[in-house]
Amino acid sequence: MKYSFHHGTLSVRDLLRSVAFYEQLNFRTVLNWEADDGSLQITHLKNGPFILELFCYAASVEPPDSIHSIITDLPVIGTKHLALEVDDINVARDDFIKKGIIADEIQITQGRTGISYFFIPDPDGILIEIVEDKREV
Amino acid sequence: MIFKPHHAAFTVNNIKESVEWYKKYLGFKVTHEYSKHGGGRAIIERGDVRIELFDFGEATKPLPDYRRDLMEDLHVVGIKHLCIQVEDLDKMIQSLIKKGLTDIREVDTAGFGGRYTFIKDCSGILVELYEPERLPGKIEQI
Repeated sequence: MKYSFHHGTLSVRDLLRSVAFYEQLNFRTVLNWEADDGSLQITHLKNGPFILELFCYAASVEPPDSIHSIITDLPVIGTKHLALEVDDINVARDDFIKKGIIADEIQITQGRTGISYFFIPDPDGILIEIVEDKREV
Repeated sequence: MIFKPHHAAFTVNNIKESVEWYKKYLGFKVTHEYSKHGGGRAIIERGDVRIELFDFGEATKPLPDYRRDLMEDLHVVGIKHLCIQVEDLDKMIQSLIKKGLTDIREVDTAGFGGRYTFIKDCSGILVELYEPERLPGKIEQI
Protein backbone atom coordinates (compact mmCIF):
# COMPACT_ATOMS: atom_id res chain seq x y z
CA MET A 1 0.00 0.00 0.00
CA LYS A 2 1.33 3.41 -0.98
CA TYR A 3 2.00 5.93 1.81
CA SER A 4 2.27 9.65 1.31
CA PHE A 5 2.74 12.64 3.53
CA HIS A 6 -0.71 14.21 3.97
CA HIS A 7 -0.29 16.93 6.58
CA GLY A 8 1.45 18.13 9.70
CA THR A 9 -0.55 19.73 12.52
CA LEU A 10 0.34 22.67 14.73
CA SER A 11 -1.67 24.15 17.59
CA VAL A 12 -1.34 27.95 17.65
CA ARG A 13 -2.34 30.82 19.95
CA ASP A 14 -3.52 33.36 17.37
CA LEU A 15 -4.79 32.02 14.05
CA LEU A 16 -4.61 35.29 12.07
CA ARG A 17 -1.06 35.92 13.23
CA SER A 18 0.01 32.39 12.25
CA VAL A 19 -1.75 32.52 8.87
CA ALA A 20 -0.02 35.86 8.13
CA PHE A 21 3.33 34.29 9.05
CA TYR A 22 2.88 31.21 6.87
CA GLU A 23 1.61 33.39 4.01
CA GLN A 24 5.02 35.08 4.13
CA LEU A 25 6.37 31.59 3.41
CA ASN A 26 4.10 31.41 0.34
CA PHE A 27 1.47 29.20 1.92
CA ARG A 28 -2.12 29.92 0.90
CA THR A 29 -5.28 29.15 2.85
CA VAL A 30 -7.30 26.34 1.26
CA LEU A 31 -9.79 25.59 4.05
CA ASN A 32 -11.26 27.29 7.10
CA TRP A 33 -13.52 25.66 9.67
CA GLU A 34 -14.97 27.07 12.88
CA ALA A 35 -16.95 25.32 15.61
CA ASP A 36 -20.48 26.72 16.09
CA ASP A 37 -19.59 27.83 19.62
CA GLY A 38 -16.32 29.44 18.49
CA SER A 39 -14.25 27.12 20.68
CA LEU A 40 -12.06 25.90 17.82
CA GLN A 41 -10.89 27.13 14.43
CA ILE A 42 -9.02 24.96 11.93
CA THR A 43 -7.20 26.25 8.86
CA HIS A 44 -5.43 24.30 6.15
CA LEU A 45 -2.61 26.05 4.32
CA LYS A 46 -0.86 24.72 1.26
CA ASN A 47 2.49 25.31 -0.37
CA GLY A 48 3.29 22.85 -3.18
CA PRO A 49 2.15 19.41 -2.02
CA PHE A 50 2.56 20.30 1.65
CA ILE A 51 -0.54 20.80 3.83
CA LEU A 52 -0.09 22.54 7.15
CA GLU A 53 -3.05 22.12 9.51
CA LEU A 54 -3.43 24.83 12.15
CA PHE A 55 -5.63 24.27 15.21
CA CYS A 56 -6.55 27.30 17.29
CA TYR A 57 -8.54 26.72 20.48
CA ALA A 58 -10.15 29.66 22.26
CA ALA A 59 -8.96 27.93 25.43
CA SER A 60 -5.47 27.02 24.24
CA VAL A 61 -3.03 25.71 26.81
CA GLU A 62 0.53 26.99 27.20
CA PRO A 63 3.27 24.51 26.29
CA PRO A 64 6.32 23.81 28.45
CA ASP A 65 9.13 26.37 27.89
CA SER A 66 11.36 23.53 26.66
CA ILE A 67 9.68 23.52 23.20
CA HIS A 68 11.25 26.82 22.20
CA SER A 69 14.83 25.60 21.97
CA ILE A 70 15.97 22.62 19.95
CA ILE A 71 18.46 21.78 22.73
CA THR A 72 15.81 21.49 25.42
CA ASP A 73 13.03 20.17 23.15
CA LEU A 74 14.76 17.35 21.33
CA PRO A 75 15.52 15.04 24.31
CA VAL A 76 11.81 14.95 25.28
CA ILE A 77 9.87 12.04 23.72
CA GLY A 78 7.26 13.10 21.17
CA THR A 79 6.74 14.61 17.73
CA LYS A 80 9.49 17.22 17.45
CA HIS A 81 9.40 19.13 14.18
CA LEU A 82 8.45 19.14 10.53
CA ALA A 83 11.13 19.60 7.90
CA LEU A 84 10.36 21.37 4.64
CA GLU A 85 12.61 20.88 1.63
CA VAL A 86 13.65 23.77 -0.60
CA ASP A 87 15.63 23.73 -3.87
CA ASP A 88 18.26 26.18 -2.67
CA ILE A 89 18.82 26.62 1.05
CA ASN A 90 20.95 29.77 0.60
CA VAL A 91 18.14 31.47 -1.32
CA ALA A 92 15.68 30.41 1.41
CA ARG A 93 17.96 31.72 4.19
CA ASP A 94 18.43 35.08 2.41
CA ASP A 95 14.66 35.34 1.86
CA PHE A 96 13.89 34.66 5.56
CA ILE A 97 16.50 37.22 6.67
CA LYS A 98 15.05 39.81 4.28
CA LYS A 99 11.56 39.15 5.69
CA GLY A 100 12.87 39.46 9.27
CA ILE A 101 11.94 35.85 10.10
CA ILE A 102 15.49 34.91 11.15
CA ALA A 103 18.56 36.87 12.23
CA ASP A 104 21.50 36.92 9.85
CA GLU A 105 23.67 35.00 12.32
CA ILE A 106 21.57 31.88 11.75
CA GLN A 107 23.94 29.46 10.02
CA ILE A 108 23.26 26.54 7.71
CA THR A 109 24.42 23.22 9.20
CA GLN A 110 25.69 20.33 7.11
CA GLY A 111 23.95 17.30 8.59
CA ARG A 112 25.45 13.89 9.08
CA THR A 113 23.01 12.24 6.66
CA GLY A 114 24.10 14.54 3.81
CA ILE A 115 21.45 17.25 4.01
CA SER A 116 21.93 20.89 4.99
CA TYR A 117 19.46 22.61 7.31
CA PHE A 118 18.53 25.42 9.63
CA PHE A 119 15.52 26.09 11.87
CA ILE A 120 13.05 28.98 11.85
CA PRO A 121 10.66 29.80 14.72
CA ASP A 122 7.04 30.59 13.89
CA PRO A 123 5.09 33.25 15.89
CA ASP A 124 4.43 30.72 18.68
CA GLY A 125 8.07 29.66 18.79
CA ILE A 126 7.27 26.37 17.02
CA LEU A 127 10.44 25.32 15.20
CA ILE A 128 10.24 24.46 11.50
CA GLU A 129 13.27 22.89 9.84
CA ILE A 130 14.26 24.06 6.37
CA VAL A 131 16.38 21.54 4.44
CA GLU A 132 18.15 21.11 1.14
CA ASP A 133 18.65 17.52 0.06
CA LYS A 134 20.63 16.96 -3.12
CA ARG A 135 21.35 13.29 -2.42
CA GLU A 136 20.07 10.99 -5.08
CA VAL A 137 18.61 8.36 -2.80
CA MET B 1 9.47 29.37 -2.85
CA ILE B 2 7.96 25.90 -3.02
CA PHE B 3 8.26 23.50 -0.11
CA LYS B 4 8.17 19.74 -0.29
CA PRO B 5 7.60 17.74 2.87
CA HIS B 6 11.02 16.31 3.69
CA HIS B 7 10.61 14.58 7.06
CA ALA B 8 9.02 14.66 10.49
CA ALA B 9 11.21 14.17 13.54
CA PHE B 10 10.22 12.04 16.54
CA THR B 11 12.18 11.56 19.75
CA VAL B 12 11.55 8.04 20.99
CA ASN B 13 12.21 5.99 24.06
CA ASN B 14 14.61 3.59 22.34
CA ILE B 15 15.76 3.70 18.70
CA LYS B 16 16.09 -0.05 18.23
CA GLU B 17 12.65 -0.70 19.68
CA SER B 18 11.09 2.03 17.50
CA VAL B 19 12.82 0.91 14.31
CA GLU B 20 11.42 -2.59 14.90
CA TRP B 21 7.95 -1.15 15.65
CA TYR B 22 7.80 0.97 12.48
CA LYS B 23 9.10 -1.96 10.41
CA LYS B 24 6.62 -4.43 11.88
CA TYR B 25 3.45 -2.36 11.99
CA LEU B 26 3.87 0.24 9.26
CA GLY B 27 6.36 -1.44 6.91
CA PHE B 28 8.99 1.32 7.00
CA LYS B 29 12.56 0.63 5.84
CA VAL B 30 15.63 1.94 7.61
CA THR B 31 17.82 4.09 5.35
CA HIS B 32 20.27 5.42 7.98
CA GLU B 33 21.09 4.29 11.48
CA TYR B 34 23.95 5.60 13.62
CA SER B 35 24.92 6.70 17.12
CA LYS B 36 25.63 10.24 18.22
CA HIS B 37 26.52 11.66 21.66
CA GLY B 38 25.54 8.41 23.37
CA GLY B 39 22.13 8.30 21.68
CA GLY B 40 20.69 6.67 18.61
CA ARG B 41 19.56 8.15 15.30
CA ALA B 42 17.66 6.51 12.44
CA ILE B 43 15.95 7.60 9.25
CA ILE B 44 13.03 5.40 8.23
CA GLU B 45 11.13 5.70 4.95
CA ARG B 46 8.09 4.36 3.16
CA GLY B 47 6.76 5.91 -0.05
CA ASP B 48 7.01 9.69 0.28
CA VAL B 49 7.07 9.53 4.07
CA ARG B 50 10.36 9.94 5.89
CA ILE B 51 10.69 10.02 9.69
CA GLU B 52 13.83 10.92 11.61
CA LEU B 53 14.04 9.10 14.93
CA PHE B 54 16.17 10.26 17.85
CA ASP B 55 16.93 8.86 21.25
CA PHE B 56 19.29 10.32 23.81
CA GLY B 57 20.09 7.19 25.81
CA GLU B 58 19.74 7.81 29.53
CA ALA B 59 19.21 11.54 28.92
CA THR B 60 15.92 10.88 27.06
CA LYS B 61 13.06 12.58 28.88
CA PRO B 62 9.61 10.94 29.11
CA LEU B 63 6.65 11.81 26.87
CA PRO B 64 4.68 14.52 28.71
CA ASP B 65 1.36 13.14 30.01
CA TYR B 66 -0.72 15.61 27.98
CA ARG B 67 0.70 14.15 24.77
CA ARG B 68 -0.83 10.74 25.45
CA ASP B 69 -4.38 11.95 24.83
CA LEU B 70 -5.29 13.39 21.40
CA MET B 71 -7.75 16.04 22.57
CA GLU B 72 -5.63 17.14 25.52
CA ASP B 73 -2.56 17.37 23.30
CA LEU B 74 -4.32 19.39 20.60
CA HIS B 75 -5.15 22.13 23.10
CA VAL B 76 -1.50 22.70 23.94
CA VAL B 77 0.37 25.12 21.64
CA GLY B 78 3.11 23.41 19.63
CA ILE B 79 3.70 20.76 17.00
CA LYS B 80 1.09 18.06 17.26
CA HIS B 81 1.25 15.13 14.85
CA LEU B 82 2.16 13.74 11.46
CA CYS B 83 -0.63 12.50 9.18
CA ILE B 84 0.18 9.69 6.77
CA GLN B 85 -2.16 9.20 3.81
CA VAL B 86 -2.87 5.56 3.00
CA GLU B 87 -4.77 4.07 0.08
CA ASP B 88 -7.17 1.89 2.07
CA LEU B 89 -7.73 2.74 5.75
CA ASP B 90 -9.90 -0.31 6.52
CA LYS B 91 -7.33 -2.68 5.06
CA MET B 92 -4.62 -0.85 6.97
CA ILE B 93 -6.49 -1.19 10.28
CA GLN B 94 -7.22 -4.88 9.67
CA SER B 95 -3.52 -5.44 9.06
CA LEU B 96 -2.57 -3.56 12.26
CA ILE B 97 -5.06 -5.59 14.34
CA LYS B 98 -3.75 -8.83 12.82
CA LYS B 99 -0.25 -7.81 13.84
CA GLY B 100 -1.46 -7.25 17.41
CA LEU B 101 -1.90 -3.49 17.64
CA THR B 102 -4.77 -2.69 19.99
CA ASP B 103 -4.65 1.07 20.63
CA ILE B 104 -6.45 2.25 17.49
CA ARG B 105 -8.83 5.20 17.74
CA GLU B 106 -12.32 4.76 16.27
CA VAL B 107 -12.40 5.84 12.62
CA ASP B 108 -13.93 9.29 12.12
CA THR B 109 -14.84 11.41 9.11
CA ALA B 110 -12.65 14.44 8.48
CA GLY B 111 -14.42 17.80 8.07
CA PHE B 112 -12.74 18.21 4.68
CA GLY B 113 -13.69 14.73 3.46
CA GLY B 114 -12.04 11.36 3.90
CA ARG B 115 -11.65 9.22 7.01
CA TYR B 116 -8.97 9.05 9.68
CA THR B 117 -7.81 7.28 12.77
CA PHE B 118 -4.93 7.67 15.22
CA ILE B 119 -2.55 5.01 16.45
CA LYS B 120 0.17 5.19 19.08
CA ASP B 121 3.71 4.00 18.45
CA CYS B 122 5.76 2.13 21.05
CA SER B 123 6.79 5.44 22.70
CA GLY B 124 3.16 6.60 22.95
CA ILE B 125 3.51 9.08 20.03
CA LEU B 126 0.23 9.69 18.19
CA VAL B 127 0.31 9.14 14.41
CA GLU B 128 -2.69 9.91 12.20
CA LEU B 129 -3.65 7.63 9.31
CA TYR B 130 -5.91 9.15 6.68
CA GLU B 131 -7.71 7.93 3.58
CA PRO B 132 -9.05 10.58 1.19
CA GLU B 133 -12.68 10.46 0.14
CA ARG B 134 -13.36 7.83 -2.48
CA LEU B 135 -15.91 9.09 -4.94
CA PRO B 136 -18.43 6.59 -6.28
CA GLY B 137 -18.33 5.68 -9.98
CA LYS B 138 -15.63 6.38 -12.45
CA ILE B 139 -13.68 9.61 -12.51
CA GLU B 140 -13.15 11.00 -15.96
CA GLN B 141 -9.94 12.93 -16.49
CA ILE B 142 -10.67 16.11 -18.43
